[in-house]
Formats: sequence, structure tokens, C-alpha cells
Amino acid sequence: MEQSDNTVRSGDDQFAIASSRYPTSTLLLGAIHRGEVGAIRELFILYAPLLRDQARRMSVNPDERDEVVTTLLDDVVLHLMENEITPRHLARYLVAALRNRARNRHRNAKRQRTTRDGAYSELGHTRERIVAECHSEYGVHAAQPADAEATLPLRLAIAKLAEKSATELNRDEMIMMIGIGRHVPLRDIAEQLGITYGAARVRLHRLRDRFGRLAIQYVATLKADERREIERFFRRAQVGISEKKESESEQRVNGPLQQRSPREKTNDQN
Amino acid sequence: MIRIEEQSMDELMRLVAQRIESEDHTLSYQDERFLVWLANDLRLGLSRAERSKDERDADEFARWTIARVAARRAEKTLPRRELRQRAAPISATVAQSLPAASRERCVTMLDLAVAAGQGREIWDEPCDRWLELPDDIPSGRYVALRVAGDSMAPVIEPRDVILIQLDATPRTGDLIVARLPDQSHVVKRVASIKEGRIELASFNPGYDSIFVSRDPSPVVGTVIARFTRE
Repeated sequence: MEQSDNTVRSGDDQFAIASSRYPTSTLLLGAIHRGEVGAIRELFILYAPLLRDQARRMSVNPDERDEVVTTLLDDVVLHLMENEITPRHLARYLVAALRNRARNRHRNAKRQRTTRDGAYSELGHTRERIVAECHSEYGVHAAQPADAEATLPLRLAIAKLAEKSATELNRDEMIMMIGIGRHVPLRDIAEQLGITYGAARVRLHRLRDRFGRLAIQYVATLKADERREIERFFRRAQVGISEKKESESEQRVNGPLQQRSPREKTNDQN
Repeated sequence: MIRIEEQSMDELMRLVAQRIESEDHTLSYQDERFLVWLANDLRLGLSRAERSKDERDADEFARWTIARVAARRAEKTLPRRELRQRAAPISATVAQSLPAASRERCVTMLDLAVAAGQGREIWDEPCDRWLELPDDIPSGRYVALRVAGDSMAPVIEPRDVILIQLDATPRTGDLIVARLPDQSHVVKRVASIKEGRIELASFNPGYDSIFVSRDPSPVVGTVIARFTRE
């Protein structure tokens, strides 16, 4: 597991969960330790959608997600029961377990690919030689799907900006940003951060400001031709970048985030 | 000065946040409150059909998991032993052979499938094989049965031999041999004992639980050892 400190629970760690029969994860885990069928069933109902979502985010194949989640939950229940383990943060524990498993799957798949590819190029001590088939750059580009060229630079740009944001923004700003990425309503983000709705609005305003500066700094580091390329892809993704005066760079607090219902936004995303 | 249009800011933030989340950044999956909220939100966002499927999968999952846990526990508590048997020196029923077999630290052995005959008690079956009692098992009232059927696989496979301690009081989780109302005998795990009923479950999740009345007691004895089949 990724967090070794997550296996000890103190009395004040009572995270409420959406179960009428087992209102906290402590009660749920206690019932699982006793081998209650209802508790094991409840664990599946409560956490399978979250784990499927995490599997999707970890690029597990759609037709393998259900199996990965069920196998993981099965192993976790077995582990919890046999070792009488009571994770302090159950959701975090499950997600960490799934991410570990997904990473191992990817690693194994990569190893298999490497081995398979190696079989074509490495002939050991034989005197045989492989004659490589040459492809022109044009040929390689032409063989790619139509949108591959379009999405790659954008993905790279977003990845670099994400990297920069992860190092520059603080913990609360990151939580807020991920919440926005998830279309979490601002009231829920406020609750999560333990602040009032008003304070969350102010923080969101500051986050937009800070993030905007980061994005601008990033774009400014690009060469002119790279920037044009990125702008073109940003425009395709309906993200606008333009040359304007600094005085016009004020951001509104009530942007599109507050103007639509959370469920509507979630549905849009799906 | 470069400026990102304000209406595009949230969209860009979302793209970046999703990217951060898809990577191994700790915050996206280590905030318990966020994950609990997300789990609930994703569950509420399921369609009716998806929710029904989850309910069905959860039932099956719970059944499989309980069976698997019980099987693993039984594997630990009942290590496989070598089967040492001999021909019975006397020709008699199980009941008649018990004292003689006990004197020679042996146990009468018969097929559980044979013991399933209508209206016949296990004691009335003729017995022609004896099982030699392992040294670490104290003398007592035992009977050995050769199992038929795969309901207790993978812990007890068809034709495995199990040693039954007679007159034992079963507790939840114990493996027992019980006599059913149709006079057949089964090896099962005691899943629960409540409200005058005993729930007998199989390790093989393909078999449903059986409920039997506690009174009169259907329990023949408790499984205390298993022996590798020939």
C-alpha cells in the first residue's frame, strides 16, 4: 500500500459514509471483520463505482475494469479479515490498492511488449542480420490516425502545465483545482477544505488568478512557432489565448463554474 | 502581454486538473473526504440499470468472498494428512466396529455417498476399511467418511477422506457432517446458528445454503482432519 500510516486508526477518525446500516467506515470494517455478508455487500455497493472510475483514470481497459475492481475488493476483504486490519481512511486505502494494481498491470504489459519486441531485433549470437524497413517521416505521419497529430501537442502542453501547477500550487489549491476538474460544486469543495462558501469563492478567485499567471508564464516560455502551435491546439480544445493588455486581465469569480448545476456538469463530462 | 480569455480559464483548469488526477499526484487520491464524496456522487450518478447490476454483482461478490475466506481458514485449520488405511479385521457395522477399531487406534471408514441411503443411519452401514488414527489425535469417538460431490471444493475434494469427531457441539464456522430431513448426509460449514435454525453453507459458491432445524439436532459430528485421496 502506498501509505503505511493508513493502517492504524485512532478513536477520532470517524469518516461518515453513505450507508444507513454502517454510518462510519469503522462500523463497516468491524462488521467485515466479523464476516457479515451484509457488510461485504455494502463495501461493494459503496466503493465499486469509485474504483471503476479510478481504473478508468489509470487507463485500465474498459472490458477489464469490472474484473479488476471485483478481484481487488475480494483480495482486500480477505486481507482485512485475515489480518484484522482497520485502515484509518478506507476510501484512500482502496484507491491506493487499486492504483498499485493498475500500475503493476501496466508494468507487466510493458515488460511483455519489450520482450516481444526484443524477439524481433535481438538474435543473440547467431550470424543472422535483420534488414530494417525504412519509413519516411511523411509515411509515419500519414499512417497515424487523423486526430493523432492534433491531440499529441495539446496533451504535451497540458501535461507540462499540469507538472508546473503541481509543483507551484499548494495543497488546498490543488484540492480545489481537482474538485473543479471533477465538477464538484463549490459548496462541497468548501466543506472539504473546512472553509465557508464565501471563503471558497475568494480562494477560487485567487486560484484562477494564480493559475492564469502560471499558464501565461508557461506559454511565454515557448518559442513563437511553438506558441502558435499550442494556441492552435488550445483553440481546437476551445481554450482561448490571445495577446491583450495586462490591465484587462482581471478574472470574474462567477465564471461558468457557478452558472450550471453540478449534476448537469457531471453529465456533460460523462 | 499574453492573456488567457477568462471564460476559458475554468476549462483550461479542468483539463490540467484531470491531467494531474490521471497522474500519480498524491492529492487526487489521498484526500479521504474528497474520495468519500466522490464515491457517493458516482454511485448517485449511476443509471437504474447500472445500479441494479451493481446490486446483483454485490450479492454475488459477498457470497463468493465469504466462501473464499471460509475456505482459506479451513485450509489452515485442516492441513492435509496422508491417508493410512487397512482392511477391517472384522465384518461388522460401523456401530459394532467402533470399540474394536478404537482399541487399535483406528477409525471405521465408509463412503458418505453410501451413507445417504434412505432411512438408514450411518451406524447401520457395514464397514470393511479402517483408517489408522494419526499419532497427534487423541483417542475418542470418531468415524471417517469418504466424501462424494464437489460442494466443499477446493477444501474437500471428491473422494477425500474426512475424520469426524462424534458428539461434538458445533459452533459457527465449524465444518460438520449433518443428516438432512431426507436422511441423506452432507458435509457443510456452519454459516450461522440462530432462531432455531442452522445455516449450512458450501465452500463452492455454486451451491446454495441449506437451512436445517436445530431440534432434533441434525449434527453427526465435526470435521477435525482431512486425508489426501488415493
